[in-house]
Amino acid sequence: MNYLSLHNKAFKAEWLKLRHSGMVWLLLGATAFIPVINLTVGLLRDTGEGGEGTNIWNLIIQNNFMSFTGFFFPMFLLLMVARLVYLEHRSDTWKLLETQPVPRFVIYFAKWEVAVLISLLSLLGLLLFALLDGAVLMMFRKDYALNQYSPDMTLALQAVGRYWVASLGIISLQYFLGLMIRTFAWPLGIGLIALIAGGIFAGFGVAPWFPYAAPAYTSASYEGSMTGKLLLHHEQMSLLWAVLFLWMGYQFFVRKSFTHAFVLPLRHGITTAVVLGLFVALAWGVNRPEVLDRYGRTVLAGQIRGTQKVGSIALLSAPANDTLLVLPVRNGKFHAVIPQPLDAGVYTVRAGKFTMPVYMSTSDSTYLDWELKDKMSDVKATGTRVAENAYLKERRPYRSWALTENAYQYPPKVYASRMISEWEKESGKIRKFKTVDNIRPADDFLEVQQKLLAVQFLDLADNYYPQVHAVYFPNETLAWPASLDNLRKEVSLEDSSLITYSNYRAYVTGHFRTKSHKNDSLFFYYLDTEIKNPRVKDFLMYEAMQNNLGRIKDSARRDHLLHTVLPTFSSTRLKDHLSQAALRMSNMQRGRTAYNFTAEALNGRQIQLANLAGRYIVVDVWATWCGPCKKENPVFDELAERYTSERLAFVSVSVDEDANQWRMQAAGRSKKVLQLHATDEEFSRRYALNTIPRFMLIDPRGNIIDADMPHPTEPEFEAMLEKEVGRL
Amino acid sequence: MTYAIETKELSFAFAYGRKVVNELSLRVPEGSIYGFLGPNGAGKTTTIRLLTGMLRSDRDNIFLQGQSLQRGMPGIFQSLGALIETPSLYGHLTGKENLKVITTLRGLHSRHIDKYLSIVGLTDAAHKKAKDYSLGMKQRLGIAMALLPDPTLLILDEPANGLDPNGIIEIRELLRSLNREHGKTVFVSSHLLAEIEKTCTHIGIINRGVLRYDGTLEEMKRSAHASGEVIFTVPGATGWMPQVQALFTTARQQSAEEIIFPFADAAQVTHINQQLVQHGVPVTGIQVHGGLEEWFMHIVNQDRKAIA
Repeated sequence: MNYLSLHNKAFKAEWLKLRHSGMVWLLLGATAFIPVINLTVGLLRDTGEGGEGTNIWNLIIQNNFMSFTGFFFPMFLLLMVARLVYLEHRSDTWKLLETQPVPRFVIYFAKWEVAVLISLLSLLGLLLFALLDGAVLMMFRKDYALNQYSPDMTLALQAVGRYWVASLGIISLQYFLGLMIRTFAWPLGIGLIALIAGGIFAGFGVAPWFPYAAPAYTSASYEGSMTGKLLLHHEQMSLLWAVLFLWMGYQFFVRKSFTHAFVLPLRHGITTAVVLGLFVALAWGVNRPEVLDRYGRTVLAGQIRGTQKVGSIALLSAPANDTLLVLPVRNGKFHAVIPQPLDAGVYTVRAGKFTMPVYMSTSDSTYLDWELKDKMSDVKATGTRVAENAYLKERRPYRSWALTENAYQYPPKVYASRMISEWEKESGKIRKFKTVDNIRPADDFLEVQQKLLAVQFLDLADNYYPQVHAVYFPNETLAWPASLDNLRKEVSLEDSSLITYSNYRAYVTGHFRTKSHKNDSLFFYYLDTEIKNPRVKDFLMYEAMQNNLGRIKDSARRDHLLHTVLPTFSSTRLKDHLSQAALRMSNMQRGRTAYNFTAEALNGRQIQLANLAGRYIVVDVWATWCGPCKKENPVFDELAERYTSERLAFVSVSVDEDANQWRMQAAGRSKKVLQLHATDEEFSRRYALNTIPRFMLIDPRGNIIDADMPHPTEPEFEAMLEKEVGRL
Repeated sequence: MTYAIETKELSFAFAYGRKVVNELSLRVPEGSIYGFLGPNGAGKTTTIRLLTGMLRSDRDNIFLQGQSLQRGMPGIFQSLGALIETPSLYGHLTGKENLKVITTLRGLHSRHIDKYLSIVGLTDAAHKKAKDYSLGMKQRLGIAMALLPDPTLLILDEPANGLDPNGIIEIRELLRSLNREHGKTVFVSSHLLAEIEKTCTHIGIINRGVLRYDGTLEEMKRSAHASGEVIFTVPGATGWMPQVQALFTTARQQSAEEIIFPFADAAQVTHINQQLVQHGVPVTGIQVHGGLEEWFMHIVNQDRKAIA
């Protein structure tokens, strides 16, 4: 017997039966409904979606798919399968089919294939309608700028494929139900209930194994695998369900009774048990979250895409943003083996003006797919720490409103028990984190995250609640119940694995600040004597010193502090960093010569600071993307209009990367202000420009009067000018 | 000799039930029209479901045209056309499309469709949806679907169901011509004796799952007419009785005008009549009781008694 030709005949016959069955209308109705609604909304209203560089085409396609597969698609599957099966039940045409010279499995599979094909057609139909949506919007809504992009068909067809696979489990299960229950309504009703349950499951993010939830899960991870897998685990599960129910359906189809198909005689029962056992084992394997193994070497590699070009990227380490490594970017790609050992923790990778945190440790291989746009960048980090990096990117930091906004309602005992229960709940969530590829972070990382969570609660207990308590329960002394000790046991004050996280540093620093009653010398003394771990000590000391150096304007006091603290450092690098920072600070002391930087004027001429000597100079350092700077700009301009004179000049220096942006915006500012764009590589470093806006006053001889003036929006600004420059 | 249908002690029981078919040994000769007769619930349809493989026999004891059904499925259906119980139709398709499903599934050319539509008299209704057909039309379409692949063996379950007298006659003619002109074997079930009697060459009677009778129509008629009663209508029968009883001791008076004579042989009826007329008995009517109908009822009732 030629099975292929038999199959083709049976398939054609199945197709023939669809005539006048309403299937075409069902298909058209189900697939057109959502795109029509979306089109109407798109035509009438500004959907306000997308942002810089967002491909609206892809957005339209994705929106249509997500709306469609939320309810219409699975509902369509239920109706379609019920229709196909009930077609035969209605006047028992199974009798007719079974007395044809065609094997039963051919008949059985031909029908299943038709269902599966219609499912594919519905998805392709939706894609077609979505593209039509885009085409119509392109004609009537020029403001969406659809003509600047074209749809990413690979992504769209991948989505079609994955939704299709996600539908196979539902189709096969409904097919089985339809064969078993010889009515139209019952299998449909059961399917509908299961579908609603699936929607709820998917909403809570539980039960990705549930076949009816598969399309919803595919929607939740529309972009698909991060690690290049064809199918996500819930889609693999859908395939497993499909195989199981195809088998079960066939057994029932041939043997015609549940008992005979699955229980009796004994060998059928044994077969059923074996198949179910196999299914459970495979399903367990598919659903079990995976933890990736470390790699032999420490590798950082990746690619740079998008509108911005960079020549190199840098790997920086906290707390001083030490450059560990600079990787050249060639043809948009970079690759390096990192020779030195890396302590597990969060590092910073910088490309141009963009930085991103990356979790790494020795023997990790990390790949960054980095898209750089004008104002934003998007990074996908994969490799051995894909789950850890996804965790850092996706998981919103925990914040409890009840424990902050409503803290005044709770006496300590209640507050503590709420903290403990919240902590346990959140801990559970942390442990459950998985990527779309069902990869979970390694245990060491999870442990760190749980400790960080404990830090958050301890921070509330030690630094937040005591203040609330003092106000709302003024006559009581704050006494925590013993249950809080469990939380305290979680976190040590010198945990090297947590030190790269600023929350933890803030907590430990807070602890020692309270202990030293905010006395600097005492604070550093405690840090030095009580913390034994050199890495932890260095981090905390460095960060505290950085903050203090900026605050202390008196150079003698600064030097004194420096000389007391520097010897306690283990890392010579950090020591050097601090000394240099201190040096820069003293170089910006009153009376020191201001660094003679070079900058470009709006007419393209190169100008040096020295060229402006002979007048007092107010310098405003800003950038076009800096919001706070723009608040100062009009006030600065207004003062320039009023006070520019033989004795006083106003200068704005932009630190924009993009000179065009600067030109456009600077041209619109006051003509009394000299507009410059810093071309000097040393400019930022020499003036310790950790933040902008920054205002500086320089005397006619080129010496610094104040390197960090009050801002123009503050009255002190004008007062200072008057005091230093004299009558204006 | 190979039979078109042969079963060897075929038995079937649904789970935990009594045997619906009990050691049934059928032999349907090639080229016959075999009438499978039995009252409702006798096991006819179950037997047909077994013969068409829709129910599975545990043993390899069904043979169609010399080939084992169990081992020959589904290729064995190549030469089989079947109509089981109610006709299996796709209500949402037209009559023609229903036939097209069969030709497509079997890979046959669709040019014969019109021919079979006209054979069953559905040419005018070819483009009407089957769900709008009358019961008779549905039945005829079902027959057309069974005939379409031009099978050498036809298994028809109550084909006359729902047909009007004209339709019944047409089907009867059709079956006969298929048999005579095309040499097809027809296995037809019915609960109507008259129907079977008029069409079939061979007859099998089933009741309570047991085959009660199996033979040719002639054999059956012979045994059916082997005995009976004949009623002579004689005005003033009471007066004639002594004379009649002198001639035939078994005669007895039924009513004022009726006298009953048992007989063992159809020839006897003629003899009784001659004798009565010769002796001046004024016979005004003769009514033979018996024949197939009574014989059939006899078999069925006997069976019921036997079981009770």
